[in-house]
Amino acid sequence: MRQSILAFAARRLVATLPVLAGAVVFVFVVMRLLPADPAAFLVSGPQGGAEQIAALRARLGLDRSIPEQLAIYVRDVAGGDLGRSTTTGEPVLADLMARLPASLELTVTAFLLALVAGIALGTAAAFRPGSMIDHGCRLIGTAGASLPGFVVGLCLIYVFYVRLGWSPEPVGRLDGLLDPPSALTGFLLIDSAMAGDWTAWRSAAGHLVLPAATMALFALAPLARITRAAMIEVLASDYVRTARALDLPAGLVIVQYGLRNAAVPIVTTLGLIFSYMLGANVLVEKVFAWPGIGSYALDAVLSADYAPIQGFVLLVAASFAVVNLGVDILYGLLDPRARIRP
Amino acid sequence: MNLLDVAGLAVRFGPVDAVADVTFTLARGETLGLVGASGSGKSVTALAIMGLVVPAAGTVTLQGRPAMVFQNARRALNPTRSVGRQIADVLRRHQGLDRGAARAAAIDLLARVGLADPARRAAAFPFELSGGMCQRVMIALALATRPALLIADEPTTGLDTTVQATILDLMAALARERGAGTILITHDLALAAERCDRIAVMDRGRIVEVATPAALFADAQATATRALLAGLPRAGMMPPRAPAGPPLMVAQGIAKLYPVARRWFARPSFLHAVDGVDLTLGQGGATGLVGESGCGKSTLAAVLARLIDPTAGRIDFAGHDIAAVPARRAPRAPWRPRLQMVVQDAVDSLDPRLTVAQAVAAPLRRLTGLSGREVQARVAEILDRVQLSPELHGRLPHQLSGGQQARVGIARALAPRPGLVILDEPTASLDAALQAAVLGLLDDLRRDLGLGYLLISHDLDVVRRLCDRVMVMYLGRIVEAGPTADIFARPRHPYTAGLIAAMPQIPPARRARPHLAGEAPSPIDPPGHGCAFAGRCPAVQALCRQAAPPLAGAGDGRQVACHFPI
Amino acid sequence: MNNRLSLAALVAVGLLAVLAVVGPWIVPHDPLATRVASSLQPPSALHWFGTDQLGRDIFARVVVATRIDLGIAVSAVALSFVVGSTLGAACGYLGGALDRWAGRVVDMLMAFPLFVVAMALVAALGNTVANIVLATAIINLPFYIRFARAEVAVRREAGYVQAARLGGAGPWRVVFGVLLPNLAPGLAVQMSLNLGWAILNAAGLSFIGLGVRPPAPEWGVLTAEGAPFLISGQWWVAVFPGLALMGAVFAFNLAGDALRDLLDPRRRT
Repeated sequence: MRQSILAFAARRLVATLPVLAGAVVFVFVVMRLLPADPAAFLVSGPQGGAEQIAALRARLGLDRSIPEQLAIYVRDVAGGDLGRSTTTGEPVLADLMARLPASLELTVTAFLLALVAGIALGTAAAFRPGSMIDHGCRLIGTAGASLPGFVVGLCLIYVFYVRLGWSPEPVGRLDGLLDPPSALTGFLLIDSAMAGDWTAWRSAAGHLVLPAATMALFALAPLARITRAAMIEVLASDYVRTARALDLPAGLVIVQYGLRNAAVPIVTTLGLIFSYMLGANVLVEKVFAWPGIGSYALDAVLSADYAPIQGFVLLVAASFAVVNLGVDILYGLLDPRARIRP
Repeated sequence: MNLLDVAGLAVRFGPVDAVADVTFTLARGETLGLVGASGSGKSVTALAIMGLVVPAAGTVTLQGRPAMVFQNARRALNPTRSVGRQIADVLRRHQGLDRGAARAAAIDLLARVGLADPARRAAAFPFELSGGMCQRVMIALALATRPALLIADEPTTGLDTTVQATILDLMAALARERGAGTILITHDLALAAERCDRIAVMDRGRIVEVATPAALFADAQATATRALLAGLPRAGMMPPRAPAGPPLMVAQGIAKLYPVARRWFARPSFLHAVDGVDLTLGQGGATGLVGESGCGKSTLAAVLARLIDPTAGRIDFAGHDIAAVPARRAPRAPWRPRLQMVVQDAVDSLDPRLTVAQAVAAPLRRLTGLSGREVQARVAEILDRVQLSPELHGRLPHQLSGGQQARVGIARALAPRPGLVILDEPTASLDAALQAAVLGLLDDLRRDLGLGYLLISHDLDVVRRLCDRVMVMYLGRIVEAGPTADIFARPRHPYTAGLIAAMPQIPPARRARPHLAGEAPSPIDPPGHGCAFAGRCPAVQALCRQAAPPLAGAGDGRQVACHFPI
Repeated sequence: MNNRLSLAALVAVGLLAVLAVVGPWIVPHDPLATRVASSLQPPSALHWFGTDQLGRDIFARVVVATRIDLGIAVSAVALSFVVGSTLGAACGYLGGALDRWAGRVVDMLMAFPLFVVAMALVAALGNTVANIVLATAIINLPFYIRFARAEVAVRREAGYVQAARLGGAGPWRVVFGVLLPNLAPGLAVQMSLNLGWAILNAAGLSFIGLGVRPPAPEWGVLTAEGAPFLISGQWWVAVFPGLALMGAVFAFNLAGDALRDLLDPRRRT
């Protein structure tokens, strides 16, 4: 029994909710594993007396029972209160929202780069087995998976900034002397284009190239490999043979009989790649001093500021869940077999 | 002027000559059979005619367009595109129709090839259709190209015998309508003999003989032809009716229901794989269980072998109530060595990491208390009996041929010296000649070792050769049972009659045979009242739709479940 | 995958293993000895990889780091392999409540990008090597569980599993005696690939300060220490550890592919 696309999408949406709920619980549980007493840590110093610690504990709610703390936490999260950062002094949600566009711009650019390059490379390799492109694709497929993001980033900086001078100084998103365009979307490329500020646009793009390339390189590897494998299998399939036997036009065969069927494993890989990217964000943001949520979380970890860490993990889990939902729905659109209800 | 002229055709794959010096002609409206064992080059010849492979030498001259109907139709259809759109693709390419006209024409074509409810089916995807329906879609695709030549490559693989006959009739009728020629590729000489005006026999890439079916059967010249003939069933070859020993297994009221998920608020549905079966198996006897795919015979076999649990029912075997033991505990039960099964599909039935000797020894070590040396001796003995020479004992499954793998499976089941062996489609994936050899072996083993068999098969011919009793199954129920010779000579249930009529005859006759239309209904929530067969029965009456007939004795050791037996 | 490449990969892995064991004894200089006078020297005959900002020999530090990186990776992968495969195979074969609950835990775990989970775990549990191993093992678990479960699900209705049951094998014997051995080649490949990934993970965590702490040598830490000097032109401090890291991971990945070819029973004669 095959469901309509809407029913399928609704079902997947409903299935996502328990995952999100589980994520909230999971984050709470992990953070409560802290052997250290955050209150004691925060109050450390000459003024740290027993009453101050107790007062701080009460304020942080640490003197209640665990289930109570969980309930309070859930209520807060549902209301958008993710706590307050002790390093920036701002509400965590505000901090995250301010820094999110930077990370998004980086991740989306890298994702698109990897997508286009990976699929093109994999398809070309499948159509020309044994050629240089094929060998290149296979090499990238294996080698690319071995590249640590931070090493690649550093190497790229060394080559393109230190030696060649093509790239701007790898600090932040924009040349320090320029004014950022008025923040409409938070995406510098879009904002500066809409404001007609092409100097800013060039600077933003220049700063974006190396970090996006760093992230894209790692994602490129599995994508190219899977695309190549999927296309090879599809091109050798019985139904493509039938299509050729029936003398169908080449364009139709490649798109509707070929790519359409190869798309399924490729889309699955896209979900995995995005998951990796959300994690790799942290490393790349550190190397390039990118003011995104990754570096925010990193600073918080190193100063034992727990609310931002919780907020960051939750946000990442939520975006991942949304992306997965999108992948599932896309999957259902592409392959009717995925919509079968047993 | 011939429709098709093939002269000196040769196709090479690397150093191998897949096809060499093939020459034949085909006239308009003629049906030519291209027959040979697997690997003889029949399909490659067809691909060359289609232009899908480039010949190394020779010419192919065709007045018009060729179209090919491939085997395993479901795999040959685009899984992510509805069948209607696939047909429309072809129509737009070959007949220049626009989108709307193509869609309507596609529905027409689906009706022409005999699909019920064509408008709904056009929106369906291949995985939602049965094998027979997919085959019809393939035929529709071929027709849409308006071919002058129709090539059918093993069009009946994977289809039930009843469906096979209807498909072949359909292709013949459509070809006649268009005045097209047909090439029928098959390894089954009997099938070709029934359907073709002339037969070309191929062996190792060459045509070794071309003749009319009558001439071929009367006086075959080539060795290859004679080998094919030898593998065919011979009429009248039935085992003597041995007196059945005392009952070894008695099963009563066996039912197996699988829950099927439905919408949230509807009543739960059940798939009635087995719907109330009683049977008795005597010591040393061979009973066959036949039916179309999906009738529940494999499920019943798995239940009787205690691999899965029945939903209801009682099974008495050698003094134990074996249904009372859950399937989970069955491997360690005391009766396990005495009740064995040869599992379906020889290829997957052998652990790829075990050698032949190890595979046969494993059950011996766990089921019997024999010492290491005794186990080795028993393994050698049983492998000798199934005619597997000693140099094969150390081989791994992927180094064995299909026939050899089947023998290992048999040896493994027989090693613990069981009293009853259940055989689930033991010859399903084998060529005709191999099939005959394995059946002969099974027959000899039964006599020598005093075994009892329950043989599951969709192939009546296999059952006829090996079994003295037959049970016919439909939608989870037994509809007829009795001695083999009697049932084949005088079937009393319309379904049995239909199955027998669908079998190819030897020597072949070109007369039209009546056979069953349609396909078996779904076993999910079968009609609660009335005979399950009422929808397809040629002799259905009002009573049949109201009350289900019980399985009742009809004299002389026979039972029938029909209100109006023949 | 051609034989020369496979051989080279396996040899490289072997070499790494040897270095991990005897590394500390064969290096020409003490990896921890600081000599500020000879800080930031470029590669030379005396210091093959140059020296870092405290005058320590980078070659020695890179070689000694092999032990820590491999040690972490091997422990983590071994742990997650044993727990994950057994659990996954049991879930796939036995089904039922075990399968349902394990599935939920795995789904929850995989709802997070795994590096972030590792970060959170190490941040919560504390900055020790043991915790890195634990965190890496936990984030690796889902792969083994899912892999084993899927492979078992494919095989559990296979003819030879049925034959094993007919031949007297109870459920646990089927899982351990029939299914897992058949899964072994696939699992070995997974392990090898996972080793590469575990090394990357540990290095990544150390790079951001959550892993091995200086002055202990570990490839990620070494790269992090060297990063600031890249801009001023002293590239050797960061590049050599980075290359070592990449080389090791690459070797493990290739070895995984080589193993897959080797262990396919269809190639045994």
